[in-house]
Amino acid sequence: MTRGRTLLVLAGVAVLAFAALGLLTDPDIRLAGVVIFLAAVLVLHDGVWMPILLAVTTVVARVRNRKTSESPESGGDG
Amino acid sequence: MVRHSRAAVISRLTRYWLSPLPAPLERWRRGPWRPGAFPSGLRSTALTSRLGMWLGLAFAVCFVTGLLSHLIQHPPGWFWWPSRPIRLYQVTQGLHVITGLASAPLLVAKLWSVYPRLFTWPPARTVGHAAERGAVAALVAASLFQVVSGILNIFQTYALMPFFFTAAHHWVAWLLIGAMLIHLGTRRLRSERMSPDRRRLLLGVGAAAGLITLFTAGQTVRPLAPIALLAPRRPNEGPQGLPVNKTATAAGVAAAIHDPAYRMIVAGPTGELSFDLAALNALPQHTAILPITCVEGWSSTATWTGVRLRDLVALAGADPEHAVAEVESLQAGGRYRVSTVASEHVRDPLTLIALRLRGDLLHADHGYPARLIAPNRPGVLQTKWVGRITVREES
Repeated sequence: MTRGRTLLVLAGVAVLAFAALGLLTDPDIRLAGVVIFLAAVLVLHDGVWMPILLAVTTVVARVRNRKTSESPESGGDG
Repeated sequence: MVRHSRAAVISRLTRYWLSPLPAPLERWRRGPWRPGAFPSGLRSTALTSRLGMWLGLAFAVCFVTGLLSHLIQHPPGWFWWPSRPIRLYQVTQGLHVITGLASAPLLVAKLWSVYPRLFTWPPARTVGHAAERGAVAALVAASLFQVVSGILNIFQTYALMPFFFTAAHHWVAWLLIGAMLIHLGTRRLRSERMSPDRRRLLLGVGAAAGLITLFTAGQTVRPLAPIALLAPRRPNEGPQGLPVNKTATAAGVAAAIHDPAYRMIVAGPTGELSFDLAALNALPQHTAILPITCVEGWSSTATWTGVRLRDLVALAGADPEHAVAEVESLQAGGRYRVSTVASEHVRDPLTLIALRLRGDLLHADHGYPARLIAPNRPGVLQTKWVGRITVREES
C-alpha cells in the first residue's frame, strides 16, 4: 500500500472513532434506534429490494430477448 | 519484560492481519454463492468506478453543506457565520437537499454493480479481509441510512424513524465519511473505456439523477417551481403565500398569541422594557425582502415589515454593534423555542422583529404577533411568536 492510501485508511479509522464517540455520548442520540435503522436498511436493501430488482430485470430481459431474437439461451440481467 | 522493536511489532500485526480464517465447507456454497450466479455482463469494474466517483462527489457535497448547516445551528466557539450574502444559506442548503436526492439513483446503481461481491466465496479469507468487508458493510448501511432518513425527513415522515433525525443524520454522516475514506484507501479507481451498453446504463442513471434534480429543485429555485412535481413543498403554498412547518396550534400558542395582555419583554443591561402591540407599532418600522429557508431544502422569499432588532437592542441599553440577543418564543417547550442571534446578525439592519408579512399582519402560523426574520439563517432559527428578547453585551 502506498503512503497516500495508508493515510486515507488511517484518516478513515480516526473519523470512524469520532463518529462512534459522538453516537455513544450525544444525549440526543437513541443508539438502539440508530443501530436498528442501520441494520434494517442494509437487510431490506440486500435481502428484499435487490432480489426483487434482479428478478424483474431478468424477466424483462428474457421477454425482450424472445421478441428481438429467437436465441433461447441469451441470459437474464441478474 | 520483552522490548519489541517497531519493525517487529509491525511484522506481527501484518502476520495477524493476513492470518487465514478457517474455510467454510464447500457444500454450504449454495444459492447466490454458487459460481456464475450473476450472469449479467453489464457489470464491470470500470462502470463501478465511475458510479463510485460520482456518488463519492455527491456525498462530499452533502457532507460539507450538511456540516455547515449543523455548525450554524449549534455554533462552537471558533465558528463564525456572516449575515451576508443574504442567500448564502439558501444556496448551501438547497444544494445539500438537491445533491442528496440526486445521489439516490447513483447509490442504487452503485450497489447493483457490486451486489455479486456480497456473495464472495469464501466469505472471509483472512482477518484483514473480514475487517475490510465489515468496513464495506458500514459504508453501505450508512449510505442507505443517510439517503433514506434524509428523504423521510423532507417528507416529514418522522414516525418511520426510531431516533431524533438531526442528531442521527449528523453522526451517521461522520460514520459514512470515515468508511468512505477507508474505501478510497483500499480500492483502485479504474478508468478504462466502457462498452456501449455500459455507457447507456451510466447515461440512464445520470438521466434519473438529472430528472430528480429538475423536478425537485423548484422548491428553492423559483423558475423551476411550476415543475417541482417530486418536491414535498412548493415555495408559494401556505397562508399568505408562504409555507409553514409548525402551526400555532401545533406549537400550543393559539390562545396566548391573541391574549390582550400580550407584552414583548426586552431585557438588557439597563433593565427590562415591556411593549404592547401598539407600542411595537409606534416604533420606527422598516421593510426587508428576505427568504425564509428551511433546513428541509425549500425556501421562499417575502417582504417583511417590523422593528429592527438593533433598535430594540439600543433601547435596552446595549451597543447594537456588539450585542448578542436571545429571542424566546411564547411556546412552552420544544427544541427551537429559543434562538441566539449572534452579533453579526444583531448588527445587520435587515434583521427584523417582523409584525407584518406582505403588508398584512402576520398569520398566526407565521408567528403573529411578532417573529424574528434575519438574513442568511436557517428557518428553524427564525423564532416565531416572540415573547421575550434578552440582550447582552458581546464578551
